[in-house]
Amino acid sequence: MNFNMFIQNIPLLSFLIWIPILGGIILLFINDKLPHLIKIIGFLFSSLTLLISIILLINFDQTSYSLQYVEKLVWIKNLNINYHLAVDGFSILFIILTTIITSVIILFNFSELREQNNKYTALFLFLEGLLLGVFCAFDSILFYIFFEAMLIPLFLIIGIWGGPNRVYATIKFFIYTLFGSVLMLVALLYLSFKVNSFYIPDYYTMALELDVQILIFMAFLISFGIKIPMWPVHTWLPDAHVEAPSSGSVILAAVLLKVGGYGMIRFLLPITPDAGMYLNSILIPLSLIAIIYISFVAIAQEDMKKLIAYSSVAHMGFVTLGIFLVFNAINPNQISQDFIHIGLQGAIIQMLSHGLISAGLFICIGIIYSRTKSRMISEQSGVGQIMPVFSAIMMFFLLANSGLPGTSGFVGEFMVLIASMHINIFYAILASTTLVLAAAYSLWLGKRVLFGEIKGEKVISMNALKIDELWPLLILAFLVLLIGIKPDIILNISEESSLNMIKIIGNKY
Amino acid sequence: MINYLFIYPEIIISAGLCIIIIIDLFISANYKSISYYLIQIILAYCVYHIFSYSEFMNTNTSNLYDTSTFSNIFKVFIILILLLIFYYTSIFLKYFNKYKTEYFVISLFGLLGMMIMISSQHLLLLYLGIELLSLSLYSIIAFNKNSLFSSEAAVKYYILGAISSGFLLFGISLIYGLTGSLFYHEIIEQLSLLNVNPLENDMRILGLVFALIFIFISLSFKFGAAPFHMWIPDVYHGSMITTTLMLSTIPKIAVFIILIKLLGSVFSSLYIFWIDMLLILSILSLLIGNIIAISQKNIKRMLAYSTIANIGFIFLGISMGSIDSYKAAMFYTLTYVITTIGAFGLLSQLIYKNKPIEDIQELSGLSRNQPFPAFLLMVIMLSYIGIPPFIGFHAKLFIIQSLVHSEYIALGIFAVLMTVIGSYYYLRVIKVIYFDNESEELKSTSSYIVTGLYVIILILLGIFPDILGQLSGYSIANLFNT
Repeated sequence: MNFNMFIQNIPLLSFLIWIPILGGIILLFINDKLPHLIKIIGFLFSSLTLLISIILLINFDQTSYSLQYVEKLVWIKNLNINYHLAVDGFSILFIILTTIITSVIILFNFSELREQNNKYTALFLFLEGLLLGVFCAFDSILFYIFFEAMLIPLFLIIGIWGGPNRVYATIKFFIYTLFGSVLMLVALLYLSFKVNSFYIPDYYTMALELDVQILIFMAFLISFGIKIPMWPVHTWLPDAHVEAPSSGSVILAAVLLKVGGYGMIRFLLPITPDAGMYLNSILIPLSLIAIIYISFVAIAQEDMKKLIAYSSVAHMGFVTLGIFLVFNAINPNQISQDFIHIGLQGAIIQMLSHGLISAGLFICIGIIYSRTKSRMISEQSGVGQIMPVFSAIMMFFLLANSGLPGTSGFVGEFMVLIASMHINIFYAILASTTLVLAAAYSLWLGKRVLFGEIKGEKVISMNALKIDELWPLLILAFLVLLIGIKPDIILNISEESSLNMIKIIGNKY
Repeated sequence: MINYLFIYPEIIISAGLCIIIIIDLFISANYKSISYYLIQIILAYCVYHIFSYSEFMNTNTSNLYDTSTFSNIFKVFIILILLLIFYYTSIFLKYFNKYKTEYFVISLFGLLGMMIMISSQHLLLLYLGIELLSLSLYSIIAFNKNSLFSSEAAVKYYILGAISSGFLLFGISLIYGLTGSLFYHEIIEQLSLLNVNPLENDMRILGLVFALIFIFISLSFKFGAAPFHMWIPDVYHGSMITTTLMLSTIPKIAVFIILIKLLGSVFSSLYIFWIDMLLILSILSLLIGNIIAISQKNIKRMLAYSTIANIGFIFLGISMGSIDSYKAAMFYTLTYVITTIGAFGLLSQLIYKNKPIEDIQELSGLSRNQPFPAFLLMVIMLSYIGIPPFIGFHAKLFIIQSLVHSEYIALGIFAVLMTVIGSYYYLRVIKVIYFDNESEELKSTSSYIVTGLYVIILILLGIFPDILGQLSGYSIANLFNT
């Protein structure tokens, strides 16, 4: 017990946020001619953060939905804004995802040499710190600050190290997300004006008129919908992915998109359930369009990265479907709360699993690109004969992406489908087309790139997999399998929090 | 017996600058920096005096010349900023061999004008202060004798400034006619007797509103709010970059303080009339500033339009008419001044092909050979956009919060959307600095220490906004309690 007392007394969450940022600052002052030193420092700080997050997870009390590891300091006195950090069942999962993905990226970064490697690594550490801040913040302004500050590192990562059309892509990304978040800022200020507090759970208890709720709902929806991204505001994502360097794509797909989903769970669900229920017949079709239409778009892509980017949008459609179904909890008599709970849990596990799978796929594409200098599907064929181990792993990720049972990709989709089946059978029928469509684009990609005859000089001269490239893939593949076989380890952690969330929504009725 | 201790700082400066002009004639060209240091000693002594007699000044109030803590805070603030501006200016002028002590002396006249503006409790005294400031600005704009742009800018500013002074005087004369006094406290007394009701056709109130409009137009002209912004881009563009640095910062503080004093306390009973004027002007400023800035290629013109947009935000803050919103506006003004000094100060130290920076494109690839200045410029641009954790975010946050608290939510949404539009041209600067190829022609004369300190100050202020928040809160509370 002594150890537990000790853990509770040190500000672990602050360490979690500030250690990577400190590491980034140190890296900025290191000469970029010293790749080994950069590697060691980057690795040290990212694994230290990973270690802290594992300590958090081990000591996390799964039987309670209450906030844990709370830290509270007065920050801006005259506005009553606090430096308020805490963790609940949702955020702890995303914290673990962030630290794992960042460690993997730092590991993968060293497989290729680039100029200004110190800044590159530093920006990833900054991004990690800010992302962790988003997941820990329980003061809405603090949340907003981390949420928006996050744009800067990725803006620079894409802009400095990106592809030929990087400036367009990165400015589009920045302005798109800024547009969403400023509306959220006004909504947050309005809410805090009403309850006279910036503490997020205080917003949950307030009663709002339906027309006010709808406006606030729209502000949050635009903000998080752009981030996640939902169908018609997804257009920044393929551009950003195509131009971003491989590691940038990895963190963008694996963690940044999840901030949108996390924000929806944290803000949309408990604050504006009436508006969500009122607009449910519009929201769910948006998710279904994302699932079906974007899957068809993905099939038609000729660029590997764009294909995976569109598949991300389609998978996020499942997440939003699961989340929007939760609004039905407001009519407690009609639908069993258990199924809604399954839907919400499904959305969460789908986010985590997509984080791992898309990270793996983007690393795979990065590996191909680093050798053939092309992302066009038509320019590669028969990679499997040159790089057998790599192809096996990539095929594994592609199968997981299409929702193969036994991998994590299956669990989330299955759970969301069960929930939608109980709410409206048509939703379930339409959403389940993904099982075919995801298989179509994933497997067809595998068929065209990995199998077939070897075409062209570029493919023949591909180098074997380096150790820096193999490890990240193996770690991710292991986690995908682990969650696929035993999803309970994730579900148990978020169980209490999601039950509590549904209770909050139900009570509002 | 009149107690001169009140205006001792002003006396020190005016006497000091007369002496410096004469001494400077006898100093040979190699030792001109002596007079530069003398100026600094005078200013430092002035600050010391204000500090040591602040208690006395605060308790012995005068109806003509206000020396309360509020005025003193800003006098000290302006002097300190002027010292920073002088630092940048002297480096710039020395590099281009244009160093003349007169430049600093004329700037000191401007300082004197601003101190009078801040302290005046009488409309005519206010006019004198504004004129003293304007005249010295006209001459430092024209200081670069050989430049055609410079002369054009000075003439343009002079003519428009003269018209606006005429407006101010006309407004003041109307006020005198209607209230019989030019003292602030007597005007307040007269106005408090009136029953302000917009539905009644009271000719006196109509006349007062008419007068207020004239005064307000003149002050908006000095401030640079749209649609009275025409001079800003040309003057910023035409004058030397250090003159722009001076023009775009401290006069704004002085004019802001006058606005707060006049609107917030003297004409506060006419609130229902002036709120609409301010709102229209702020909406126009936000629109014109942000949209026209997008098409600018010259960095000084771009920052000129960004100034207009920032003034729109400040006006939004003032227009809400509550103590909290004044605090927010004050915070925004201080933030704007601090960031703008960083921006123009840094730009004045960058040299492209042996000329000062003009086009945004000339900054191309700055991050490769000058990482520190590039980082500072990025922080400043992000702060202008209002991206946390930099100080500009908090400034915008406070303004929008005061809008939301006054239930002007649509206006708040409009303001934040304008920020999004504005982000494009700031991002373009970052794009040029960080994403474009480097050029060999770009050099920097900046010292790492000053640049580094500035970066640290901007980031610290962003992380601990309470420092500025307390200052603005304290000063506004001081203004409205006494």
